[in-house]
Amino acid sequence: MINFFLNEENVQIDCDPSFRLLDILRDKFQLMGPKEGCGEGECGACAVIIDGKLINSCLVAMGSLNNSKVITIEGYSKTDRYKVLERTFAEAGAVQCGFCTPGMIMAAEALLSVNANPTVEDIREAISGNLCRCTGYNMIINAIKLAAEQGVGLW
Amino acid sequence: MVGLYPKYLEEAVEMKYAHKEAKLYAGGTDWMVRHAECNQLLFLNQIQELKVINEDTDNIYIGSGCTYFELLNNDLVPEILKEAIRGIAAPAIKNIGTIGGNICNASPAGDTLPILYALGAKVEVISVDKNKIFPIEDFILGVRKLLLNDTEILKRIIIQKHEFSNTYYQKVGARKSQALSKASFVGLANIQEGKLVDLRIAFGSVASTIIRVKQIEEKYIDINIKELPSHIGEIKADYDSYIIPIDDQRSTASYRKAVCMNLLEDFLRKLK
Ligand SMILES: Cc1cc2nc3c(=O)[nH]c(=O)nc-3n(C[C@H](O)[C@H](O)[C@H](O)COP(=O)(O)OP(=O)(O)OC[C@H]3O[C@@H](n4cnc5c(N)ncnc54)[C@H](O)[C@@H]3O)c2cc1C
Ligand code: FES
Ligand code: FES
Repeated sequence: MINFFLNEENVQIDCDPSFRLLDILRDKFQLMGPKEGCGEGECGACAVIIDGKLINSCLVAMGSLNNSKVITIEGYSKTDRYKVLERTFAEAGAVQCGFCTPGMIMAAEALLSVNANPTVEDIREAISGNLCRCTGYNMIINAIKLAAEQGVGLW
Repeated sequence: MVGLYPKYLEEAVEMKYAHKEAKLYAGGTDWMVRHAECNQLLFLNQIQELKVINEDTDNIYIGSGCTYFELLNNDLVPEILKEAIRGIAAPAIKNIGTIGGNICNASPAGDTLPILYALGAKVEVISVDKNKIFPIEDFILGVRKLLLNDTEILKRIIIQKHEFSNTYYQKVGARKSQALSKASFVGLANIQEGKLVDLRIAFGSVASTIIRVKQIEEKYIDINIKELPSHIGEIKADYDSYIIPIDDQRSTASYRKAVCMNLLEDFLRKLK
């Protein structure tokens, strides 16, 4: 039995310890925010936050999770921080098809939680593992910069 | 598939002894991509002893389970190793990928390897009844081949404390951080009273293992630094037969070789 915390709730699951967290999130918990882009750690569409760190859920075996705290975009969307990012992503035109957006938001949170006032360079580095086929990144960078400005005190 | 979850190193080696066919899982960033078939998976990621970084008067000891970010945030880790780590992948990989996994993956493109070879790093391997320490170049035998039997685990990396007056590292890849390196080069040197007293050179991604040739390094010890430029052609020729990159989709062999030779020359010309 694998015990962990999913969006603040203690959950147990009996599964093969080599199964990918990404598949368990989508198939067993119906959390569709994390997406499979590449399945090889290259695109960040499946990114979640585990124990405060940005991690690609396609690279996580369930057996490595023992007691970890996993936050997906679904859990994060209940926070005030998310509301700011949601607004600034819309304002900056940072969402087109939306496939990369959950991963981008998780990457933004992982950055802002340790660096509330990031430079453009910091933001670029923070989202360097998240691919977007649509926007060309500048809008996303602006959105995160705006969130840092509008969300003063939240991070 | 059965999972094994040791909390202590002692427990881990006992489990490995009892379950010799179990595969080891550290950060999983290589393991999950390769999906190796196995019946038992031994998870190393809960073992705090593998995350320790400490020192004594002569050496720095780095636990095999340290992630890239843990290494970047530690003052004992040599700056030249940090420089290579900064160039590895994106944050989500740096958060879980470990130095032990990078070594045990035994890929000639592993970015910490040229640095560890140049620093003369040793590895400490542990099993139920033995601790063995030997040079990293004796541990890595070839692509995905290690001198590690099915009861052993890599415990830590041992790096002798050593100052260098000249350090040089370059990784040439398709994109700055993401791609596995196409070619990488590290040069370390000490110059005293105008003489070259210590020289270490290592190349990554240019053969089936990292290339470091101590005979060539020794040949140029004690040479006057002013005379070095006149030896550059000779030094490049010395390395010529060792740099035998294979053609693959990442880069052509001749391009890689040219890059390596240019980096070698650039390092030598900048020595002061
Ligand atoms: C998107 C992406 C980008 C990457 N970019 C780079 C890059 O730029 N440069 C680079 O060098 N690498 C890169 N890698 C490869 C990988 O992240 C690194 O090699 C990493 O250090 C592997 O560590 P890990 O802990 O994840 O290894 P794991 O996948 O857990 O293990 C790798 C291998 O080592 C064995 N092993 C692990 N720990 C031990 C131990 N203590 N004792 C014995 N055997 C052990 C495992 O059994 C397995 O065979 C990248 C990978 C991905 C997915
Ligand atoms: S699907 Fe996980 S990083 Fe692309
Ligand atoms: S908005 Fe389409 S991939 Fe980013």
